Amino acid sequence: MKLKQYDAYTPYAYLEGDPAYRVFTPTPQLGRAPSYIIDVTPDEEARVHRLLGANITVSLHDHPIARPIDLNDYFDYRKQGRDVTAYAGLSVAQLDAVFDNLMDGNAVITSSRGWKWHDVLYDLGMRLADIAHQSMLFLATTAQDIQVAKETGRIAWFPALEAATPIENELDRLDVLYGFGIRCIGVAYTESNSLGAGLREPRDGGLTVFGRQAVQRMNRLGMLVDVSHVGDQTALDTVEVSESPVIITHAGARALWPSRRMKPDEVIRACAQSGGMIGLEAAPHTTITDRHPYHNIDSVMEHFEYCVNLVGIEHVGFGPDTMFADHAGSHRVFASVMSKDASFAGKDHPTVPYVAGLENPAENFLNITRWLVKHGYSDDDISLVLGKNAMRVLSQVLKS
Amino acid sequence: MTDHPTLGTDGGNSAVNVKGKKYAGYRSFSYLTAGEDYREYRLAPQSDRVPPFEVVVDPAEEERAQRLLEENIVISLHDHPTVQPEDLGDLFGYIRQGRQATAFEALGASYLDCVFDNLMDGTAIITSNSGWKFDDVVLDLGIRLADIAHQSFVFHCRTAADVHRAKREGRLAWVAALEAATPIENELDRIDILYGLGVRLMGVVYSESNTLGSGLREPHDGGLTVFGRAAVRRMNQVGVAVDVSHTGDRTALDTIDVSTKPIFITHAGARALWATSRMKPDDVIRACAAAGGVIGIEGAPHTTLTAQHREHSIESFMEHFEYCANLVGIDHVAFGPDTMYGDHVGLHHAFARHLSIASSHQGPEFEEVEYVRGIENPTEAFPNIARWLVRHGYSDEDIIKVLGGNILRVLDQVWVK
Repeated sequence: MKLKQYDAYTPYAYLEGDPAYRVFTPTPQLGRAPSYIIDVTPDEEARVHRLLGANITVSLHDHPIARPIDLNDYFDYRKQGRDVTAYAGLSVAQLDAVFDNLMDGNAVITSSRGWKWHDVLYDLGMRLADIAHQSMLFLATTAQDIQVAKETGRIAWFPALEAATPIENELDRLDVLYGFGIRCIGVAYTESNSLGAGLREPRDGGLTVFGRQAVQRMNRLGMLVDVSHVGDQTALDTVEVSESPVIITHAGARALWPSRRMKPDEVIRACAQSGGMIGLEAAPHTTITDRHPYHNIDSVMEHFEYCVNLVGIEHVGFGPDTMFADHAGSHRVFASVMSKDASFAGKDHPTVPYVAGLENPAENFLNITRWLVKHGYSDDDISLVLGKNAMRVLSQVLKS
Repeated sequence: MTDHPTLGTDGGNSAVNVKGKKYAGYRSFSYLTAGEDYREYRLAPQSDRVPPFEVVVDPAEEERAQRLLEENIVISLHDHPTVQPEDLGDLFGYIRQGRQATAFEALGASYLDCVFDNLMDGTAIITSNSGWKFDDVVLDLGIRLADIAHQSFVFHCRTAADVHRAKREGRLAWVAALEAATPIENELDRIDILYGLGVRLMGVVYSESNTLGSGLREPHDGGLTVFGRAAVRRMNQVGVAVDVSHTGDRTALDTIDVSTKPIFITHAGARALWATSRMKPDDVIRACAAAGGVIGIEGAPHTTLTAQHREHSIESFMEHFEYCANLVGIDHVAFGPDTMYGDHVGLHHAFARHLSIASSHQGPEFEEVEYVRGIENPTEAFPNIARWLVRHGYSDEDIIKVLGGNILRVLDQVWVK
């Protein structure tokens, strides 16, 4: 197991709360939903602990934050622009690196519809100011930083954006975001932007002329290009244009579950052929399967095994997309802003209050490792999917 | 790191690294294609733009000066280590593009372990005509950081430990600073945000008043405003160093009174020697020192003049230094030469209105110089300061304090982590 240098810092403790800012009671970071532990033997559990201690773990996509307990406060909380990093939860999450996707489509500080340039800067700057006041998390910009985190009992924090929408028509904003530490950007979220088509659109015009320039600029800068939320043609165009490996940080296989949010085989294959990878998604009601319609770790791992069989284990990892809060509830609150109807349209499925086994970052990697051990994966294969594959891609794409 | 040398766009000789410094050939924005991704301007040479000037010392003194520079931490409390266009007719176009070149090569030859870089300050007119916009500050800072992230000699400094690391590793700790808090408008949270994005020092106000307080050009000084008081308090809590270089006198005294941490006058001189609003009266310098702070001596053209040296040079600059050291003690004095790689006098003319140059310089008559001999740019300033101090019989202990030790003492108290 990993022991992290947690200093019990409370978010924004450098200020005194009211009146500097309104304090919302945050969700508890541990024990909020019943914990779900995959049943393994004591020997298997010992192997899980050894594997997590010995290997680098990377979450390619998460939102490791708490939220107000009362979801009625959510808009006011977000408007204030002071998201609460879940330091306590992360201290036991067995992660050496986490890609934190900030407020993404529900950054509604200065607007009602999100994705504004100013809001992204506010959100990022505020999180960084808080992170600078403690020592467990640090702003990471290179693959070596992950190694350093592992060796020093810290966590490499990578700020990421799920969409390039806030750059509008300014390529130079990519340099600016890179300058402030952003190392992974999605081409588009579910809604189309100036770069390309989002997955909700009835037609997909592919990567635009500006989108092509933006992908090239991201390559020149040394940034990961993410196609998780784009339409299929836009994803394929991105892989074709990009000089660096392209990544799907959080999705699953459409062959198992026919929603737009899942990726068809050819997109997963194209990413793998570019040297990239897919991180398995676990946000509620995404990676479901016919065999496991009640979304839980078994349905997610069915998507995992499908991808491994499709493109090889070297091209698969995890981007669970979880938080220390009621994710299904926040989907309901932000359904319209985040185009949830279009993302989930497909087959009927039962709803769950949370995804058993992958409910929050604190339990994800423990349960993933338990599942892999229980299902007979080798130490080598487990080390690849926990972090080695991500390290390979990051070493290639990020400048160091 | 991609430290691939590319063809320089400036003239002049190439500067050579001083001992131990690890500049490796990177030129600004070489991760992109000039002419395609951005418009290329012919830039001023990073060395020998004007005839180099060395303070005259004997060989033993030179050896002592070199040793002091090599063995101790050297910090510039205020500079603009950027390269300006060779033809100042290009200045506005160059600035509007928002891509200022960092003088990496010249900094490798500079003996500096740490530099407070004040970015475009009042000349940031990327999206406006009069400067100081939040958007422009963020664009300016982000582009500079993106460039810095593509080489390994200069790195973004966020803690006092980073300054020591730079010395140890032969690198340069680059501190992002703003000469005025004007871009925060009426939003305290922007202090957190700018800190998060990497800013570690802010002036309360530039020469023109803002929401925090009065600038030095104003006929009357209303002191630190209610918002200004809250902002100084927030800077203390967040860990942003506070600078009163360009404020009015009342505003400076109020700031020192309100601040729970020592403050800086990063770049100024003594009004007792030269009676302009840009210089500080004894009571402000004394109050700054009494609170544990430091004054960095200013070297921008036509600022730190004296009756004895009406032609601005290192001699007038050091007269201000000695006056301050005598006034408040050597523990409270350092250097913020406020220089750049390019024609500073020409830039003052081009931006006279933006920078309120007329009211800053108004006072006794003086002869305009083309440049300040001995402290023309960041590379020559510190070797000449060290030579001057050695020549004038300062002890090693005192020289170590004014080159960087005094500033580090304040940073340890002000920068919270």
